[in-house]
Amino acid sequence: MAKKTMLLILVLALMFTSSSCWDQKPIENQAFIIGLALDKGKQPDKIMVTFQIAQPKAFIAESPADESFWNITEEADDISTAQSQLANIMNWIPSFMHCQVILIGEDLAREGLHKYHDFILRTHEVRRRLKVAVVQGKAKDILDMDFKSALLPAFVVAEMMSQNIKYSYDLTDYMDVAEIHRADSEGFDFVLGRIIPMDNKIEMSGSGVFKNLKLVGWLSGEETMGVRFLQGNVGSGYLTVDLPEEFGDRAVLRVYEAHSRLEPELKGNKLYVRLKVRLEGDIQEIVNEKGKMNETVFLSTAQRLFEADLKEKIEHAFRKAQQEYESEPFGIKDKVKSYYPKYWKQHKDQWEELYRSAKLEIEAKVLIRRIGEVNN
Amino acid sequence: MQKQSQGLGNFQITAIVTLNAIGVAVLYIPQTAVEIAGIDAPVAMLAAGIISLILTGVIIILSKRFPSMTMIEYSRVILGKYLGFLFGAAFIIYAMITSSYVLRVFGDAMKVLLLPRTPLEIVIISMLFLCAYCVHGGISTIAKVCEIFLVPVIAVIGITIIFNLNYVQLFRFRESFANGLMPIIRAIPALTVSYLGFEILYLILPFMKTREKALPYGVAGLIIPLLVYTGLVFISVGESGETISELMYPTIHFSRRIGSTEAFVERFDIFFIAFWILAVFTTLAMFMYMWSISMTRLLSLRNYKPFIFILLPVCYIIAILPQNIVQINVLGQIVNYGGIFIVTSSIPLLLISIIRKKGGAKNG
Repeated sequence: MAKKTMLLILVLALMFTSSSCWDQKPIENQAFIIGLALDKGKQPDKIMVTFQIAQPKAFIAESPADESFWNITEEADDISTAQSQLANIMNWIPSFMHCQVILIGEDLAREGLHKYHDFILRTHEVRRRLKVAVVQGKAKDILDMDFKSALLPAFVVAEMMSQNIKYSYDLTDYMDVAEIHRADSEGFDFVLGRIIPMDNKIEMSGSGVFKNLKLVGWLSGEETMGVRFLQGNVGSGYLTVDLPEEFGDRAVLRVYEAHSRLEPELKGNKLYVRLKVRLEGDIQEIVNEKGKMNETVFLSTAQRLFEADLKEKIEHAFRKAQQEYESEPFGIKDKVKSYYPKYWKQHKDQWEELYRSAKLEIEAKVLIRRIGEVNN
Repeated sequence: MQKQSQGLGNFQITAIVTLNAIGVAVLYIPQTAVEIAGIDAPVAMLAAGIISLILTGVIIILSKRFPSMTMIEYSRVILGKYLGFLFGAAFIIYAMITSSYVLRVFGDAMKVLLLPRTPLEIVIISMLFLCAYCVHGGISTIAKVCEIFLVPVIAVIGITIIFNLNYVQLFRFRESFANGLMPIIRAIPALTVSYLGFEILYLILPFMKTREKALPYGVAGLIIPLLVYTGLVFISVGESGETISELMYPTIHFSRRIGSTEAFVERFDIFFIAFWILAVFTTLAMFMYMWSISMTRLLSLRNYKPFIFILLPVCYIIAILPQNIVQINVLGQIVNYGGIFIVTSSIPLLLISIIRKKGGAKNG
């Protein structure tokens, strides 16, 4: 009897230990969704979801697969229906784990994101740091492009967003899924980076202004720079300024360090927005056909010029958002709430008027540290 | 008292208290705190921690008056035979429900975060058996496990906090105290609950090697959770403001943030979940130890080991009973009220023992 029991135990043990791979999920059978494009559907109240799916086999050397990705477009009521439709037409398991970017088409953005962002927030697979951008045109077109620099369009877009932000003030990747969630629940406006599809290339500059999760208008690259300074989301980038005649045409400043600090101030019932900007940079290029100049005079003049130019650009962006779009993507609301909690509690409903009459005061300081390799 | 040969070291007491306090709550503590206290959450968390520190002190002082007894025995000395028995029974039921609650929250979190296709029952049963095995080894085994796990668990949560400090926007905290002290005071009872676990000190003091040092080392054990929890709440409020109250597992999102931005390790959240499981494991093992040894003492028996397996199914059934998140939260409420009752009753117990001159400081 004891022997039989032992045998039974042994059989059971072997049954459970030797079945090692019965539930395996090989990586080739996973459909990694690496990009998502949302567009307005052809029928009303439907959306067109384009999934960009990476094909892991293509990354193996000498693989039989020649395409590294493919795009599947599904029209459905919502994203999860589209996802299940996707699962219906292929034998792989779709997974959002490695999603790099979400692109939103202009038409859908104008209608509002309310209806569709819930899936993205609720699904655990989607990361909250996922980048989001708005496309001027159809979002699907971006994912369909054939890039020379990398295999997968979604990667190109995601990398452009995170890398180019360090070299240019014209882009923004400030918003991610988490921030959109915050914008929705606390009711503030925001800007999303803009991508413009062109024939076989994309341009990434400027931004789309959102109010109540609806796209209300576009900002150009320069205006986006203003928004970024107001948000305090500044790093490094380039500034260009027209020089007065005795110095030449233009000067380009490579900014390697920037700080900006925005503080709201209430005086009576009027809101003053104080912005302190401090830039440090080197001169990158001087477009000058006349020849020699005196660098002592040049530096002090150029600093003043850059300061004035910066102020003007920021002011312009602020006016445009405030007057034209009546949107407040700068986070001023958030700050007023924190700085003046008592006032906020009583005057919560009057925020719109308060903001519309708000006055911006900028204190800019540009420090040019070096002038490069040549000394003229 | 079996295996009294060595007894627990001082540091082991610290590790036990720390890892018993840090449990499932790590995952959702910012959500709870912000939901109740709003922007004042870090302050409320700190205040609740200090209250818990005081309660820990009271429990240790009380237990030191009865050097060779656990709470189950000395509550009978203090309160009389029947009331003491009732209190002991209440403690067992509380420990039982708490362990079931921890199990269930753990199982649900695992289903969402790591094992979406594994049945809940499997997750729960495997964890239960693992803990039963650990508890079977006795308190010294649990203590050693805690000692080993302390550093990785704290390190992972610490890394999460430190790498998120970058994103904290300090201006948000200007709003603190804007609504007066009331929100903070109101939040304290609910947040004290998240530090629970130090009630194990009711039971383990007799097993200590040097009981004189119990107070500093026991209290030190709660300072780590205090820092960890306050830090977590601080970064979450600083980063996301009050939106945090809409997330189920906010801490996971903060741990994910490390991987996606710093680029020195991809998918840090996997590490986080792995070490969080260790924290849940120790918490669970200790609660199981609590109810099994209390049951033994309550019935004046010697060997607690059979009780682990006798009560295991009960624990499992309570864990599996709730049908959805709402019912789990009801279970959580029961745990909260029970926990507050158990730890705050240490104050009247101490007072009565002083008045009735039961026990004494003379023995240490």
